[in-house]
Amino acid sequence: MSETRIPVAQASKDYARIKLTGTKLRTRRHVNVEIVIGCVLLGLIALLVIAAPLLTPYDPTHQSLREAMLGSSSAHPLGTDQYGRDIWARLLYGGRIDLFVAVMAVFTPLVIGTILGAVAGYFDGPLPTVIMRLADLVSSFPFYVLVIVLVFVLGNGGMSIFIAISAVSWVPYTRISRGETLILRDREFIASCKASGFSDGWVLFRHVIPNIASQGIVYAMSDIVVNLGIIVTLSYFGLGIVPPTPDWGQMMNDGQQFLAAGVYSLTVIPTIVIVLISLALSFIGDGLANVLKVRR
Amino acid sequence: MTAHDYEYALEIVDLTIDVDKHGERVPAVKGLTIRVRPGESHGLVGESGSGKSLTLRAVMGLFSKGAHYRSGLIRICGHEVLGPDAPNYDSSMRGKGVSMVFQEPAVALNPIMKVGWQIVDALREQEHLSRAAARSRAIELMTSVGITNPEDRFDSYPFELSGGMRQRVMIAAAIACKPKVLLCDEPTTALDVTIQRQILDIFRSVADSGTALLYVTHDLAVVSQLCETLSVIYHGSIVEDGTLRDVFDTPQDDYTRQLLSSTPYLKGAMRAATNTGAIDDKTSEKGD
Repeated sequence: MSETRIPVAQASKDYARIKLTGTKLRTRRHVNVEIVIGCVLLGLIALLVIAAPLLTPYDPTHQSLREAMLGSSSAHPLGTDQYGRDIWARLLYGGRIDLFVAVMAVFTPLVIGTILGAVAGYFDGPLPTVIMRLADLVSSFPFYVLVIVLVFVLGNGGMSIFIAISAVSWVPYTRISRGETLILRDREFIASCKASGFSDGWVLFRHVIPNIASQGIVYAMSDIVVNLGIIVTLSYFGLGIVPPTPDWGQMMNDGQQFLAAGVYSLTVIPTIVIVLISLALSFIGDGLANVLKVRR
Repeated sequence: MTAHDYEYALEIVDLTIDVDKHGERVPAVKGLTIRVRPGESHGLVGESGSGKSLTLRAVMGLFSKGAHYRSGLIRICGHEVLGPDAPNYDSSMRGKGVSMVFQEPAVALNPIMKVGWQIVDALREQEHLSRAAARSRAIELMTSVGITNPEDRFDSYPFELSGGMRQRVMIAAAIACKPKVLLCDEPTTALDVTIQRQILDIFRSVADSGTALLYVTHDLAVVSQLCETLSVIYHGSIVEDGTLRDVFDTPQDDYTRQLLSSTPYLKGAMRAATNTGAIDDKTSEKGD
């Protein structure tokens, strides 16, 4: 996120020039507290998940019925589940697939949707109509229903969840970027680009899309949370990640049967992680919305 | 200059453009004819809404919504870009053949792209230079339009530059590929008079290098400083054209006469001169 170098008019007053080994490096010191908090939190969770093998000696799928339903101890910091699997290990490894699919299933629709929307907004003729009617078609189905149908058709697993979410969630990005492009299209600098003899493709990718991308990016932050929710929900219903691959949705589902018995940790622990991630992403989204404020 | 196989760099013949108004198409430019030779700067003068900007945008092929080409033709360097043979505008002359400087440099530059790269882009699109070569050429161009410290300015964003500097960047980008025809849509209107003067000098040298200039403005003072020939446009038609001297000294059309008499330029200048004289007299009296 620190790579984002879109200039902001308000930020111009507090940038500093730093001289570094002869080359002038200009940095804008516009620190947004929300983005920092969000990134630290999300980064920490991502780091833990990536470094999973270093942080736990246990295999998340290894069953040991003699050690089932243990409480917190030095050997098992968060205890074990009904099959004696280490919860800390399952939490770490489970995050890998959940987060990876959630991020990929945002990145792909963000790219595809933004390009489609820019094309639909920039050009005249039948192509925009085709794109937007297709978007209408997809969005006329309830979101969850369509995703569940697609996962059902494609079969369980991370890949099919990724495809299903991508196939459905490009629509809002297309709408957002088309709207922004329609406004941008009449701006003088686009006319100026055409006057310089640039091809439509060049104008689209070098001038239009960089100017409209910020809205989609802000939306994407909240979309990751939604995706995470979908993946976890699907797994919870048994439609998502196939066991024995650990995953937070399954962990909640597994723990659910012990709630009545007074064992809350199995359900509550993955829930807390998801809430923390949602919080982090909301912070980042809000912060980005402030920093990337549209200037007209 | 080598001999051209065309007499006029820009030729607009009998151009008619319709605009949508209350559901019907009415002509906003009616049978307009303008011819500009290489190296000549031609002023197109008229009031707001007279169709001058529409004409300019037609030459560039930038029809805004609701504007439609009806008849006539536009040739750039003898090549028909709009006319019976090219009703949908042939954009192949953009860049190297014809280029344009816009009125408001604040909105005519990409707000999130460093200005240097906007010039480099214009160069690379047309001339296929390497990155480094394009960069040094861009810095040369920036120097030639009077940008101080071009190496530093290269990495500035448009909002970090003053209006005059932005307009210089616009001009540098527009002349990057040495176009044969340069269209100017009131490029000095948004600038103050001292900067205006410097910008006009740049246009002067552009014209002297053999580029044909079509300069649209409502400011007769600017025309008198820059142009050799001019056309007066009123309600979409040319009411008078000729050399600067002919039109200014012996206007034939009523509208031209009114336009010239409505300019406070000469009278104001004389009064200013008398005032300074009076002040000088007083100071010299005191000095005695």
